[in-house]
Amino acid sequence: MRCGAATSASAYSRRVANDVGALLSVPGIARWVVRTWPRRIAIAMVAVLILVIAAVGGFARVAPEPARQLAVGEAVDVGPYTVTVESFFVSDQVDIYGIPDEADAWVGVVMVLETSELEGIPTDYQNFRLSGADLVEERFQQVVLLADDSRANFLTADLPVHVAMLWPVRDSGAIGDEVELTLTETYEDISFLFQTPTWFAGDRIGVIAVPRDDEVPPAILDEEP
Amino acid sequence: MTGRPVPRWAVTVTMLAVLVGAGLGVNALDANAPPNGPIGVRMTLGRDSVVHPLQVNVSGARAYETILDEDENPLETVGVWVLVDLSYATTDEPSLPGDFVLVDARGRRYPTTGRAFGEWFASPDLWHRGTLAFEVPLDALGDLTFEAWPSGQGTASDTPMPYAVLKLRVDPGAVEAGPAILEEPELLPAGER
Repeated sequence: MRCGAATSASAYSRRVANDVGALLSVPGIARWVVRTWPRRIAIAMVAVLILVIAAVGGFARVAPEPARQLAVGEAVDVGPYTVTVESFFVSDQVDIYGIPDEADAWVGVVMVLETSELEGIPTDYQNFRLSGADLVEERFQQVVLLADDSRANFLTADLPVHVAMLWPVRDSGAIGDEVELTLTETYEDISFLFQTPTWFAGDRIGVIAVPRDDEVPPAILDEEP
Repeated sequence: MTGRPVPRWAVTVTMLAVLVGAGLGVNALDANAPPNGPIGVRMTLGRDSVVHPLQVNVSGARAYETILDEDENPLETVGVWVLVDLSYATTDEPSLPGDFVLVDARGRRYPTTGRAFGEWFASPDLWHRGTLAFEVPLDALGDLTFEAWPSGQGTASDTPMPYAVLKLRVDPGAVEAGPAILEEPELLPAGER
């Protein structure tokens, strides 16, 4: 830049505009980048890093992890309680009220639930997902105690309960010898909105292939045909 | 000021003593204070307690391995059944009482069982006597606390709701085989509990 005698304001701004214009062109930026050695080294390092990652396959797509297979009879800790799945049955004779109109039967997954929460805890639909049947509702509708058909939605500390978790299904004749129950863990945190402790869904733990056993404990069946 | 100045160490020791004494005093006051501050009630066995709008009188507790429900079906459990005998009424209007909870020494809380007939309607100054059943694990027996909430439980720190507490003791060795029968609640003549 020629700095000579006193320059006027318009000459100054013209000079600044020229400088910016020179910088904002592609050759201008390229020149700015490689002007000094530190800049050249930094650029070279980034380029080498990208080349190496590409060379070892770091940019390749990763296939989703297959679900972990859990065993029947294995006690799985899903967070608020542990779940031990045994079998499932299909029945339209279960003595509880409230089967939806579209459903023609219940799928009941027989399991043992136990919690160690001091104040007790209700069963949470977020932990359980059933597939392999045409479900009317994604969430289980009811949990009944196998011993006497009472509601077992609320678990108390250190009292394991043997229950059937019920989903209403349609087209129950098409259900085979196996259904899949996916267990997802939940964790407790303070809800941002309500500032109260709430259980949030976490990672999927695994999938259980549940075998069929249509011998339903008589206590939960309707006595009248 | 007359006389010798008080030595520094004496002042320090006295101050420490006052501090520790005050702390111990507050501890003792807190332990004996009614639950939930001045609106809570500490119950005594066999005596009427008013935790508005509920009035309660607990006569005792016993434990069984099996009980019969109202249809005479035995209710099996992997724990034990604790039956609390009590009578209650309201002070003003007929209503269902709130929650009755059994709390063990570890702080585990057990509500009245949903497997058998539970709380009954309370009437003003008309005392009905009955039995509440709680299903608890065997290791919960020992020193228990019975809580009576007139209108549903709340966390003491959030809602200063009145509730009553009673210290009960059920010996782990005193569990009877049963089966115990849950009596239907009966209306008591005036003055009886």
